Amino acid sequence: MHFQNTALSMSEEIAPHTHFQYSDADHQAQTALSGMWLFLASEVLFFGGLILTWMFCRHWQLAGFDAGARETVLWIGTTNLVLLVTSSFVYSTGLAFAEARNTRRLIQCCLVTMALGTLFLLLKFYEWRIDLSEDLFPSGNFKVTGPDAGGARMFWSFYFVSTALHALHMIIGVGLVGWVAVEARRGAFADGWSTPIEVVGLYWSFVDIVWIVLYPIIYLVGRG
Amino acid sequence: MRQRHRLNLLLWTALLVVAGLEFAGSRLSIPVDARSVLTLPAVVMTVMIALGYMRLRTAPHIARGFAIAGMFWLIVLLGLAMIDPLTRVVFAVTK
Repeated sequence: MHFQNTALSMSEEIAPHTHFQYSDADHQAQTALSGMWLFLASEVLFFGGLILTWMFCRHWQLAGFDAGARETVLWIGTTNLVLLVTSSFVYSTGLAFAEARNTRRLIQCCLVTMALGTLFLLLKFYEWRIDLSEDLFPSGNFKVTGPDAGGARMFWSFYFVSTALHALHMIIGVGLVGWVAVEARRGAFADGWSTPIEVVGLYWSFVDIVWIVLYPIIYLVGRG
Repeated sequence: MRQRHRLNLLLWTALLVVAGLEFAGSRLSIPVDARSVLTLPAVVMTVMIALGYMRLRTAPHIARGFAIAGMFWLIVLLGLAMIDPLTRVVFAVTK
């Protein structure tokens, strides 16, 4: 019994974050990273359905779909692309600081990432306000009329569903980055343990990728 | 650490350059049927982020397997679903 307690305390001293079911800290880290990649693979198929909707609807309603796309606010979409690409860079920099045990810089990077993510969401809400004020919600009075109206309505249905789902992922992402900042402040990563930071980073970069894919299909392809 | 910072900065710059090219490309007069090529820079940026910020090259083998499986099933989903509209011949209705 005495031996067991000694072994346990030594184990905790060596790898205090390793749970009992893992052989070592590396095994636990690999499992966590692989789990997040599996989740992201399922998310790829989730958003893949949306991309399929875009391809299918645009194929059958080309003129109307593009007429709808021309009504989008290009400058907001482009600004948001730059914001998200920059946020992934900042968070990745924070991860590198965490691996070098620089907690203060990690927290700063998390706060900047959260600020960029929040700015993205505020711009997105502002864009939705513009869209609604211009009668672009695909029901009732609709801005686009004539033979292109059906296709344009399809585009705006796709637009609101895809941007809302992405915004939901963004809100979750900002919350997760905030959680990393709080845990870092409490000293959880002071010993160089960075698995949770890396796992959250995978999620954040994936949300960035989703916007990178949505940006051309919402804002660019239809602007012939 | 310095090398990692340099890599991150280089990747960020490259991503902005590709995004700029994508935006510039959208200003060109591309035929409506071919404008889907404007999504290609997004594919390039996705690969850059997966290999750079998401560190896929150094990820565990099983994680790389999940990433490849995700892309494989996405291609199956999009490819199989689009076979019908891309190969269907629409005949005009005659009286």
